[in-house]
Amino acid sequence: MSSAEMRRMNKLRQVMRLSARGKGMAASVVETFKDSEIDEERKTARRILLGRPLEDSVGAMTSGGGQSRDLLLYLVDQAKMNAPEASRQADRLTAMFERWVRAKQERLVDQRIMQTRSVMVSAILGGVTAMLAALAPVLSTFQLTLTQQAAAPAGSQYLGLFLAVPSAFFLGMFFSPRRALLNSAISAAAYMLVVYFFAPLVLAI
Amino acid sequence: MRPASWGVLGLSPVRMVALAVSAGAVTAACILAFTIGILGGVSVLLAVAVGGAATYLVASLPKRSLDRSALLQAREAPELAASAAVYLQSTGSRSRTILMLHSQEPRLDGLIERAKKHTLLGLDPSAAFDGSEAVRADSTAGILSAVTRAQGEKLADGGEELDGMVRASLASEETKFPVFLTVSFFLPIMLMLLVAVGHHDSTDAVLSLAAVEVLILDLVLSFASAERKRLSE
Repeated sequence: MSSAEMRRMNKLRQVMRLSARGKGMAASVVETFKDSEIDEERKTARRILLGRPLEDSVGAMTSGGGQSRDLLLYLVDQAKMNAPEASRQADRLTAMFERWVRAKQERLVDQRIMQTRSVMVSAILGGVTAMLAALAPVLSTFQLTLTQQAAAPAGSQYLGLFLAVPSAFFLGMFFSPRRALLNSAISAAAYMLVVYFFAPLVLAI
Repeated sequence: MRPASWGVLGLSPVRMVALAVSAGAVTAACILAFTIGILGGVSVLLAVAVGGAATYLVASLPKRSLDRSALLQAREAPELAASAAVYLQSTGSRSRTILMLHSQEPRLDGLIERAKKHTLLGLDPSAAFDGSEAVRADSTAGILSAVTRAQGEKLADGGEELDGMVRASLASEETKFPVFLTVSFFLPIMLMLLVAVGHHDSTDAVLSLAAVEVLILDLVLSFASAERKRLSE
């Protein structure tokens, strides 16, 4: 997504160069986008050539978000006033927007790494909680108070899922709300696996 | 939390205090209801701590909203500066430039609309901008001041301020992230230990503890993810 944004930004730079030389904004857009491989860019050039106003023609290119959309809207808006001057002013804007896009790209990579880590943490969390749940019969025999302690029933190991899964869900929510359920599922799977294999061993001991 | 931010947004301090304290009291009551049978006297301490955190989060909502506005305004400043320069150079008129300006940030847009009304009524538009609390970014304030004085050459894009704001938000995010990770990792483990050692292994007790866990995690998530949301916009 971001590399497409950078490509679009470079093309808009060419539009600005042409416009700053006095070519006119619509003519510069056609010149730049007429041979584009991207359908919406070709459509924009075709619409301008068919005589539609520049503001209407760029509609297909401004439907998505991003900095290139802001830059294009700025150019179209200012072209009505003074296209060469708008293009000269926009040169500084492009540099700033490009820096912003690069920062977003880096952030995206960081975010993917953190998402993977959050999945690993969720799995570990599920495993550790399951191990504690499986060890509950042993832990419950520790005499921490003066009152007589009763042994925990063996069937309650799976109740720990109610504690591990919400935590994994929130971990997922922090990194990527769309993948929060994945974290929960992985945590639950790790929990079940550990209880299934580990609990019989504890009971045997 | 800064009560000054309440004044900027026109919120009544009495109402804000009442709202924040109510939110804290409801959260504390929930924690108390869920844990009194399990933790005994300790649940009062837990309820006070979690209730206090909820109060802080509600009371600091206006400040977080203003911080978000500041970042949006700083991000928009280069575009605003470029637009203003084009309008000033093309029209040569301060009033026409003000009438053509617009912003995507709602608070700044409201202020520009007010300045437009001043201009149309023949009043000095700088009166609308001067000392306005709606302008949260210094670069935006500089641009508006240059426009009202028709000083096109003084229109700076404010890129440094934006960089500074982004760096500050990233640093804050990096500080809060380990807090969130620690809480979300160790809270269920501690609660599981409590279940195992304290013999609270009935379904009701575990569900009560799960509800407490969700409340605490929700508060910590709200606290830790403010910068993350702001930077993702």
